[in-house]
Amino acid sequence: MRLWALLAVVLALLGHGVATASPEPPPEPQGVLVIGAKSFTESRLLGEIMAQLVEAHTALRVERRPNLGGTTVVFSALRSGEIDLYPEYTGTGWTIQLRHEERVDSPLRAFLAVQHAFEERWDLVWLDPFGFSNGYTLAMSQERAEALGITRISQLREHSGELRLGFSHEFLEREDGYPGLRRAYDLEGLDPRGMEHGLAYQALAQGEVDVIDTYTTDGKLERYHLRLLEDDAHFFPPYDAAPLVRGETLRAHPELLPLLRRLGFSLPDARMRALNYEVEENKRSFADVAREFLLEEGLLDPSSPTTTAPGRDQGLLALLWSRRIETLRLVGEHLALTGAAVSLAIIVAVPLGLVLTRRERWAGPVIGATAVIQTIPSLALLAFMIPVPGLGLGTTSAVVALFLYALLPIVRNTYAGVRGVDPELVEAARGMGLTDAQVLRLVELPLAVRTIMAGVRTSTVISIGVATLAAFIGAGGLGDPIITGLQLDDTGLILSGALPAALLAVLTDALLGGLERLLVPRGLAPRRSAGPP
Amino acid sequence: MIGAAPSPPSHDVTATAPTPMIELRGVRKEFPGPTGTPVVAVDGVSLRVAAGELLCLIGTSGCGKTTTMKMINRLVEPSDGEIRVDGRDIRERDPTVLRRGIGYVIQKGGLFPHLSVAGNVGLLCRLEGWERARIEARVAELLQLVNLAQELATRYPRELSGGQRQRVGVARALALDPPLVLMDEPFGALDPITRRQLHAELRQLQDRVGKTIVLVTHDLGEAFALGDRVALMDRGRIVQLGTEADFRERPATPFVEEFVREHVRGSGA
Repeated sequence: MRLWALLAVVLALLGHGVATASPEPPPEPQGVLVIGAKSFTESRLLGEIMAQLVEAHTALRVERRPNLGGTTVVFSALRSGEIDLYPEYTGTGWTIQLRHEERVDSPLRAFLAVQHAFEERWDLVWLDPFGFSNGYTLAMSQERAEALGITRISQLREHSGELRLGFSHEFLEREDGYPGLRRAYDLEGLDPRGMEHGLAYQALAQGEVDVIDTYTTDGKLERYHLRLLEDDAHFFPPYDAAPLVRGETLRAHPELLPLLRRLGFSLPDARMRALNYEVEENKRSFADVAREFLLEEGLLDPSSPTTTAPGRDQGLLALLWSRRIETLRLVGEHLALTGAAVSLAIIVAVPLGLVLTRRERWAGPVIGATAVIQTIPSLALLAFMIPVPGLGLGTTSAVVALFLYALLPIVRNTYAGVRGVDPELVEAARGMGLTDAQVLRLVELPLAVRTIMAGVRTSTVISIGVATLAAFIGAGGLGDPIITGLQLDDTGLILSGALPAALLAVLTDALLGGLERLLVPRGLAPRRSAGPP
Repeated sequence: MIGAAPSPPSHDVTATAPTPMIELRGVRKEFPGPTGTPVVAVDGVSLRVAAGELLCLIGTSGCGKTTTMKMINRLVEPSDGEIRVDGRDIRERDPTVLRRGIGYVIQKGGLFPHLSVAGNVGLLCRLEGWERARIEARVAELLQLVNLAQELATRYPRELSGGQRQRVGVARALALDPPLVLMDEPFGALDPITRRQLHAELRQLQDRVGKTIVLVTHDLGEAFALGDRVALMDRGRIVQLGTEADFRERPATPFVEEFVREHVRGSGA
């Protein structure tokens, strides 16, 4: 019975998915410190510096959660206790978390304001600042800025017709980013387009855009010859970085407070920019650069064990080969994520599609609802999952989000496939004396299986693609090297995630194509040999 | 029974004849119309079909003949009136059980494309829980009955000719040996030669198995060739019910006369 074969495969997949997708249980909750970071170089570097410091001086086991997407993702994770601390910026706390619309000009005032408010509202503690301010700023290439004679942001308005602006998505959204900047400088005529920050420098270098947003400590500033535009209206608020820690964590591990304070004011702007440069331009690992910094500061014993990362300056094939074990592990994670999500989607969406063929009135609204889910940007959907109790950061949230994405094609194709069965055949079956359940099982499902499988294949390929974004919420998978590669402008690293992901999509689709041929009844399959036997 | 003058009054039949296999009394069917006012598809039909009789329901499209037939196996529920099969009111019977006792053949055979010939023919036996060997034997017997080679058992419907499919459809309807068979335009999609051949086969089959058959057609020649009696329907009513001779010699209304003349001209006779 082919139907049972399908069910068996689904259950096997599900079993596998659940078994491998469930997060590993933390060995002892007391002894673990989870350090998060936003997915850009500086945040990860600060996270790594704190991680090594804690590892060297306490008995705590440190779990690193770099690549946690943007502010929304990492802050949700901190509030829900998924992570214990991460480096945050005062300007972000002021405008994003506290939702202040008025500007704050003094760095100290900003720091004290967020410190008091966070402690009162959320029991979150701002520790001593690292000592640099990484505010937003706008940058142009030297040549272009010189040609147009632009040195200050206020001059942009005069050139509104000839300037192309490429801003990161977060900058375009944030009140202390472009929306506020536009009002402060009256930049109505300019029409910025959104782009991934990791790609902005290249776009600038190739002359595709003229102005980008950047950070004052961005290591790339040292490589590309850029002119930072003066914020002559003093719009950008101060962005002093400091560790942001859960109050609970500090009470549970009192040794952390004096330890992390030792990092206070150890990193002025130029020092931070130089460290960023080491990672981004000299292609050194986060671990190496963090260790070197801690050694220079005398915060680390030179004899302490070191984790050596593989050299990053090598050809693509060599890189892919050197990462083969890691890649296999990531492929496993990726398959577990998508396998679990698509299996769950099949279990929910196929019966749902069948119910809809019996309740036509619900078909429009239900299929519409799954279509609405499909329109939510993948990253946003992933972020929505984090505050949901029981989901949080990591695999579970990713599986739920991927599951929601996978619903539409399967529901729609199940519904369309069963509705597309010749009504005369259904009536013939009923007229012969088949019960409704028999009509469904023996006539409608076998005749619709090809369409249903097409939906499953679509869902699977979509899921494999979207799952690369799951790395943003710490679920791992092939997105990890892609995201890191984007931050580091490391094409090889990007490809080491993107190539296997693409290959995986193609292979999985082919595999499901084979499964489809097994499931589609022989009478429906196109004939392979000509003429009757 | 409008204009059914040649048939004897119904109370006579009830008094003397054995229980008919099928009996319809004042059956009416309304469908909700597009404008809100109901459309009457079948308007007070009464008729009896004796056991072993082959009755043809004939009429132009939309006359209500198919609806009338589908009410016998409860594919369509009557709005009013009473239907008895083998003396029992069908409303009191479970539709599935009722239908398994009534063979059903539709145009082009209505075969399931994903099942082989044997799968189609033996489907109901399988659902009745028969043993494999018994099903195989029954399928072989039925294929022989409808003059199909045994090798065809493993073929799929799309590998068959139209006439072969129709024979498989008939064999499938006879699988559980029902006393009654309903046929909805069974030969409509076939070429004239195949159709004539199948007419002859159906008559031979009927001689051998002696089923009660209700056959819907729009071809008067087919109705005369096959039917013991013919019921001509128009706008939901039976206009005349009788034999070929009744229709030719004693048409009940000018409509019947016209219908017969059209047919004779149309068939070139």
